[in-house]
Amino acid sequence: MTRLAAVHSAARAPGPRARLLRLAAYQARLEQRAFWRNPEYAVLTFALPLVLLLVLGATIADHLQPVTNVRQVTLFVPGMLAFGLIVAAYANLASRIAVLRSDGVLKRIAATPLPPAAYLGGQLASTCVTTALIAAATVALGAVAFGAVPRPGGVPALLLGLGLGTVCLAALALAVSAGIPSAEAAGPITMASYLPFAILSGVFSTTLVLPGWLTRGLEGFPVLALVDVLRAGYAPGPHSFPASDLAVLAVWALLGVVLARRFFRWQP
Amino acid sequence: MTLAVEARGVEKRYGTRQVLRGVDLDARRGEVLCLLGPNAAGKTTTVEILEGFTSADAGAVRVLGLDPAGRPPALLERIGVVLQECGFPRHLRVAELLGAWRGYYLSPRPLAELLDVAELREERDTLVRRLSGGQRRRLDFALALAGDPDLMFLDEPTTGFDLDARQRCWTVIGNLRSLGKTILLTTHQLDEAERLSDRVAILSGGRIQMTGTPRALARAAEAPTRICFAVPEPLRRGEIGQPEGMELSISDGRACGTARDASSALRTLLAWAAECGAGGLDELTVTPPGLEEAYRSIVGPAGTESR
Repeated sequence: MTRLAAVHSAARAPGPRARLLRLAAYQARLEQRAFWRNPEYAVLTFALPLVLLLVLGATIADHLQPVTNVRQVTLFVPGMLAFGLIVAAYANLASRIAVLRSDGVLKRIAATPLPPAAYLGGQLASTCVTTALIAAATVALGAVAFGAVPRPGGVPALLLGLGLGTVCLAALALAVSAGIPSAEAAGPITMASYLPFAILSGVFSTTLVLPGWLTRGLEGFPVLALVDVLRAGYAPGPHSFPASDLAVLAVWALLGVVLARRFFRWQP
Repeated sequence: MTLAVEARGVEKRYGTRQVLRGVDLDARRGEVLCLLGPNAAGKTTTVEILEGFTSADAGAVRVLGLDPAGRPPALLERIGVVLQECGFPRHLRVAELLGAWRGYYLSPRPLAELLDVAELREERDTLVRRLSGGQRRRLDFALALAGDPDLMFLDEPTTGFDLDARQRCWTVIGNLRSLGKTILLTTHQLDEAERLSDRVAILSGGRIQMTGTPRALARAAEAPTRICFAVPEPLRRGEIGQPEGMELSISDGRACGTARDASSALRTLLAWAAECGAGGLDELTVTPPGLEEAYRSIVGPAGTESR
């Protein structure tokens, strides 16, 4: 009887792909609702990059880059843009998934017929919404507070960098979350895995000078690639399309997806 | 196909610890089967193998005719799972969460019914993080029922709750049963098993030691019947000795003894009472063995836990 009913409603329902998309969209809405119902969490996620932008930006508002004479704050805004992406799409997502797993929420989901792709797709979509809002707020604040705006010709690369960067960081977050053993370890592990990259990639400083070998090493990692793509969108003057940096992001995004598929766990 | 669950020779080892040594378990359609056993007997391991969360090292398992390994969606559509301890997405309201869960299944039960069965009508718009422990447990039941499953697994559903919360959980389990759901329930609490289940399977030492109705288990365990009566005056005054073949323990003005064959013990007792001029036996009670006696005879006093 029940099985018959199930078959009937399956026959009435749109195709499995349409159902998957509908479920993922529903899940994303649910995640967004839960996100905004936790004001401390939501406000802090937004405040961190925005407050840093204001405070650090104010200290360098009149400074010029050596050699190029570009205003430092023009290059600092894309750095904070990268930081906002890292916090929302990587650190928050990785630690949240780890906490959901440790609480047993993921196991509860795994006991239902909800396709894993719909659940994780919903999580990713919700993360993309949050990240897009943070990016928009950062760009707006940079423009209003410091008059820093993207170079008109750089906008396509900037948008591409933001999109690919978000997907890349979120995929890496899912992969890394599999290696987080407990809820307590979630914060320290995510922090330790991004902060050194962020500092060394010049997220917080436009005048950081590193030995050449270190810079060459970092160029293979997604954080520096992201910072470079976003800076290319802001830096005035003629620029070539940042193809190699975008390629680095794409490769890491792919790696993140492969690792997440291989190692993602639903049970504590 | 009348069996909802069929397990044969299921074995499971964690490291060096052999938890299951060949579990055979059948759950019939529409019954409440209780898997009873002491803590760490492997009840949760058994259930998690049936749910597809854990794989067995050896043996064959069929749940609603399907192999649960790998959690095939066709099976997940038809089972409801209440895990022993399991968190919720805390920033959603009860109705929102149930609505989401209903969306996960192809033919869900109506929301109002879920709230009714789980007795959560009042909490419909409450945030999950504001619910009490007992209310969360009932929400567990409602979520497990969302897909209108044929079979429900309830792992230690009332462990750690106070008397009121247990009573309400029991009511809800009764509601589930009257919907005709097959329920496989694990517990280490005898009163829960005796009260809720049609049949009980006692898991101990990595095997199912016995399966049957609580009455049948008591009979099969050959636990003795308990016979008590008011201490006759001559016995109290020490004028007569104890009856033959039965050792009476006397406390609080009552004499109690146990007998494997209650009828012949009664005949002996009545003859003894008449012989020594004690007359009849006042306030005579004959208590047949219950689940507790059966359980004790299998698991031993150390494994007994009741609250």
